[in-house]
Amino acid sequence: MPELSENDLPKLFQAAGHQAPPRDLTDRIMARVAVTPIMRRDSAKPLISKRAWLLLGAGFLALTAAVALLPGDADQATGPATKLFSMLEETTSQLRLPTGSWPIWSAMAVGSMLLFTWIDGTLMSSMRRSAA
Amino acid sequence: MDIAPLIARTLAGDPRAYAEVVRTFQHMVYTVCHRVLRNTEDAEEATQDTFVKAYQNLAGYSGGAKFSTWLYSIAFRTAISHGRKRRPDSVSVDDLISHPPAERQDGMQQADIKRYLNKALGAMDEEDASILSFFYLEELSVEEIVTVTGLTASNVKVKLHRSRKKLLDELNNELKGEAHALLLDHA
Repeated sequence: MPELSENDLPKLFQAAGHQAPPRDLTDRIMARVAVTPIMRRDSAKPLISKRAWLLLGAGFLALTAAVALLPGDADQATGPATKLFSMLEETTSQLRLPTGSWPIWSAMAVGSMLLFTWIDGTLMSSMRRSAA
Repeated sequence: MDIAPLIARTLAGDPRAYAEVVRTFQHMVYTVCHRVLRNTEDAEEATQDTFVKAYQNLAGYSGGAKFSTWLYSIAFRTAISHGRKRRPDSVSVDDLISHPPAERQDGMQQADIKRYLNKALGAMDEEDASILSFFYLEELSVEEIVTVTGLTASNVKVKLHRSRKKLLDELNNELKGEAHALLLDHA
């Protein structure tokens, strides 16, 4: 008599079928479900999406790089970027900003945003884990 | 069966719809849990936990994967988690003990096939037995098994190859010459 081969396995499993659960299992499950709330995903959505945080961070980084690397003397430069930054400088000079170096303040802002994004993501994943 | 309307009705607050979901999938979920835990009581408890967790997180089911695959994934992880919590001496081997086959009248019965298969799978690692069951009984693809178990595709393929060989050795050793008769009688 030949032995079973790999080709026989699907037939064997299908012939054996599923294990039969107890008849009252559905009722027992539904009794527990009756006192269980459905977790609504939208209730735990962050106010500012991860993408928005990253875009803000990238914007600040670009600004920081521009301020740090582009020439600071507007009289000697005539390019559009220089004009833009001289306008920005005029505008910011009218604001009451904290004293100190712009690149340092921008780097701190970017760092804070990345930190908050990380905290937000960690909290969300821990909530999902505890829910599962 | 289209499960989407039942999910929508459940999310809208109709408990009868979820009862229908439970009735549809409880055999499959119970089999997955039993394959891992090999104990009726633990399998029942893990099955209940699976459906409660699925209900709690139903709003998070995006429809990206098949609902059955999503549910198997919860069942498999729940059963593995139950298995880790279980005391080592609480494993019942009732389902693994070989009983003498029923008297053959109209050939081998489904119960006999199930008993032989359970015994052979019981001699294997729980994860390997589950992967074989996902592949041959639930007819999941390797990609779906990856989703359910969290293993890599290459790991699943290696495990399938090895466990398939081990299962055949166990079955052929147990059944000796009756192996083919078992399937031919049932066909």
